[in-house]
Amino acid sequence: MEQWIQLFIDGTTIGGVYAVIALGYTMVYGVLRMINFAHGELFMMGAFAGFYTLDAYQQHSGLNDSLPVFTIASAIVAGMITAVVLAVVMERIAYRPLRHAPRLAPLISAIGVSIFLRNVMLRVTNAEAQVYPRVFPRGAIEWGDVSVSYIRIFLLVLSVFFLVLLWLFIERTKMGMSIRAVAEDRDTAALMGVNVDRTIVMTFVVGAALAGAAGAVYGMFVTTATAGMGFIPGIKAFTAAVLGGIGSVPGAMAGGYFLGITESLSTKFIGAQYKDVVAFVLLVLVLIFRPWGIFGKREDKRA
Amino acid sequence: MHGRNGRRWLPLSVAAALLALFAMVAVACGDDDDDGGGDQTPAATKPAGQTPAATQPSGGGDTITIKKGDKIKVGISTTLTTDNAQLGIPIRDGALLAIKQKGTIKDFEIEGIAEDDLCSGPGSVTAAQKLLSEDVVAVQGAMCSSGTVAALDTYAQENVLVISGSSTGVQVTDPPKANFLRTAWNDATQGAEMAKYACTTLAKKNAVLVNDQSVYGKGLMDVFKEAYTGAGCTVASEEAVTVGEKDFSPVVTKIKGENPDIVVFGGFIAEGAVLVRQLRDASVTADFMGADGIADAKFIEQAGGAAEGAYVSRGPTPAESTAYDKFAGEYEAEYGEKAGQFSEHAYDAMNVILAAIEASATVDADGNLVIDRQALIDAAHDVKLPDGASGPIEFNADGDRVIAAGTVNRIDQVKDGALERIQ
Repeated sequence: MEQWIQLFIDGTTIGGVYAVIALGYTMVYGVLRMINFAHGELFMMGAFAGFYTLDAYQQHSGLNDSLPVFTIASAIVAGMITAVVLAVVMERIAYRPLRHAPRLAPLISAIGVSIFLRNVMLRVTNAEAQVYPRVFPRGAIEWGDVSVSYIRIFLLVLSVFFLVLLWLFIERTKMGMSIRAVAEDRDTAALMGVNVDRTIVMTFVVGAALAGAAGAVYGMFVTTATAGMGFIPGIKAFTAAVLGGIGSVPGAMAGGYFLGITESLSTKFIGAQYKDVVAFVLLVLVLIFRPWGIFGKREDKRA
Repeated sequence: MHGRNGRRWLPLSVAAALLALFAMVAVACGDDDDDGGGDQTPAATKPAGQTPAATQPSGGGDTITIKKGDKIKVGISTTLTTDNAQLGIPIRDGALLAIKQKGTIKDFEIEGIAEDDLCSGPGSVTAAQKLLSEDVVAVQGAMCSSGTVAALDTYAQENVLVISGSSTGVQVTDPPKANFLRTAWNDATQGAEMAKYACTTLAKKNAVLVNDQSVYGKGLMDVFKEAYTGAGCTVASEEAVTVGEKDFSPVVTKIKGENPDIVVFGGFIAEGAVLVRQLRDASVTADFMGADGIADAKFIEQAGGAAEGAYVSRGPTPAESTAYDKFAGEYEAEYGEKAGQFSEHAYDAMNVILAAIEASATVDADGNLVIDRQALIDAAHDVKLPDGASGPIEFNADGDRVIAAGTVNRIDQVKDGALERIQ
């Protein structure tokens, strides 16, 4: 029983990461009808920005505080800024010129950006994994055999915090309303005075900020940054977004947690070697029987 | 509305198809039992030492002529991108060092062409096709067993000599392929020796095996399991990790539940370092044992202290090797970095290739260099390098190395952040 609880917590942690990344996929899909395949690389770049920030701290002043709140926060902010800057550049160079091109063109362009970023980091790091300095206090809350480390709690809480923050942004702010309007009907939104270009950039910015922050915290959690680390979380988060109903914000959140928990539990149920099979079988089943996703609407407003 | 439904989902379907493609590439290292084995013996593969193979209809003929003034091109198939490049780049550099030291063969310059094989089956086949289109004489590679198993067919069609310094998987030479040799050790030896060491010497009777779902990792753990249970020890469970992932919490949780004496890992540095760290973070105190895929200072560095006390098998290695020290010094002088785990094997593999070219190539009346592909393969089988950087080199009929009498399977332990030989 305790093992089940532990696996559930493990799954919720990675599920939260999937959910936060998945939001970027789903929001961009909402406004542009394109899958930003380079989104996983924004996550990876966030992890590297966090790493370089912490590494700089370590080399200058050491990391001796018991809970270096400021250090951790600045690593997360560095991750966000890096990802946002990259996303804005990426949108301007690789996607905007293709906005009226056939739908496959920006998709291919996104794959190109993804490969480019990955290879840049391979070169910078000489393909070696960079080890995060230990900033977070070690230790865990123990309950019988269940053990939840502090960094895991931080990651769990932070992902929920980001999800709530995003929800408020989408529902309660003017920019959030513009994003919803553009997602619903770009041309009509433009006629109603919404600045479509700015709204699209803003969508990228918000998605990238989430991915960058998630990357930095995930880096602290797994204490590693590698050039390839964005790939699998990226495709898993994409899967989560499709599971939940791509274009749907609550769908991406639910899809992320659902996928993370299912994967984790299937390790015990079926065996770790089939974990990814479970994830992709789920995806295939959803695409066959409910292509609009679990939370998407069939007669959605997009057309 | 309904009429447009299909179109609305089109980009999504395309995206999903692309995703599926990505996923297949990502897990390509994962197919183990059935991605070759049976269909590895096409007509092109002839037992070693027989008469030259008939020219394949698709092929570039059975002789290569290098015009006077041209270079002898030799391919290097290794992993230059992805997280496994940290093992792959030192392999390339080891092979290139051999070429540089050799300089010329019969006054022909030698050129090494490195291609990225991604440590995967599809990647290695692509690398093979690229190298063949460059008309290489022979190839050092592929890096990973998954890749070698997949690419050997492509090489066999042109009867190209392939020598790998790092593909240790059992499946690679089972069944043997006529055009393939390796300076890497067959895991059949290593896996059994590891099992013996864990079960008898260390007396760790209850193990959890973790593999990375590659031909190498899975194959090694299969051999280990057979020998380990054969020696009277028990395998509590067999787990797997996905290459490229960084959070192995569910697997760690499961291992913790099994409460084993030892965790044995078949795979490479990137996953091994993360796994041992997360095991220690979850206060799993069982011993950790890995093999040559993690036998590298980078493993210790990336495990950040968690590797302390880990056992690392390195294959049958002579007790003292001045040849290795010489190589390591030359490597460091050339590149300013320490040699990697497979650098010396790749260096030896390339030296075997060069020696075979030297032995079999002839200069014709016009001053061109003529190499008969089958003669080259036969010559390679006969090459003996008593002073190989990875130990004395001699091949058996399967293309595996002959293990010199008195050689033990080297086992290191991580002590004070460095690998120290304990067997």
